[in-house]
Amino acid sequence: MTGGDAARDLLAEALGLAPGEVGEATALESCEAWDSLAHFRIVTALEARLGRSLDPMEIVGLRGFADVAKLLG
Amino acid sequence: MGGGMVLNLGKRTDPDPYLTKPVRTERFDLVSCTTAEALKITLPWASNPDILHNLMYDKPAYTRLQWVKAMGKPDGRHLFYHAIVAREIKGTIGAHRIRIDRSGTAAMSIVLTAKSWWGKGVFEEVRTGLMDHFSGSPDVMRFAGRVLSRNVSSIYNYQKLGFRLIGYDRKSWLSPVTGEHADTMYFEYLAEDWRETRGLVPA
Repeated sequence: MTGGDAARDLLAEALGLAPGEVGEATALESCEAWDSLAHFRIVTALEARLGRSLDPMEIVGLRGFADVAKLLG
Repeated sequence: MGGGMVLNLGKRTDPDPYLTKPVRTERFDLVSCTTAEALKITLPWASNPDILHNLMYDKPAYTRLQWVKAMGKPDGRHLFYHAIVAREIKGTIGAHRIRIDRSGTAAMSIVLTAKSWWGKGVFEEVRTGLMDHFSGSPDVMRFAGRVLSRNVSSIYNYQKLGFRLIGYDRKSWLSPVTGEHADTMYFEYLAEDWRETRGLVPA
């Protein structure tokens, strides 16, 4: 599974969307489902997947699909 | 005494008539509290370790007397507590605090005690309303917030509003509960930038 595919699945679950509704344009600023609770779920899921805590700069840098894909790539 | 013009500027300790005006948003009334009202709303925080932790207080719990001192006295000029009143339920769901220092930095924090309102955009709506209002005062130069680096929801909220991350201090806060040091982050938004972004003019 590529970083992009993994990011799509992770974001779809955290945002409560179908995988087909998640894409490169999915971002904190523009996606209505990406609220503070979803953001928390994204961070938690990433940490579980990576097996480590995200550092603060990684958390601040989480603003969209590409950022999630990069971490999972 | 002659009949010269007398300027009545008011004492600098009097409540600011502009800043103390109630603020109305789409769903909420944000009411500037007296000391007694602020105490009533925030006293439950004094025994809530999660709230005290996220607001970075020095103790794991406070007695009522200790809390009165820690809370500070809202004076309508330098320290404000706004009750967040949801019109839909005619009830208070949390409170917002603003402390303005002599340089015009307005340090802000918010607590939503009604968990049923979490994840419903309260932070964004409340803070937008208060920043619209406070940025109209010549006494407010910038807005600032300090959060724990693991307070993911707060970090999200600052980012969503467009705050700029200006600093990251490692091991800068000692938790009174765990005895461990935690990292903190600083966010800021200049009042003039906020007014420009929102298309506002100073009051």
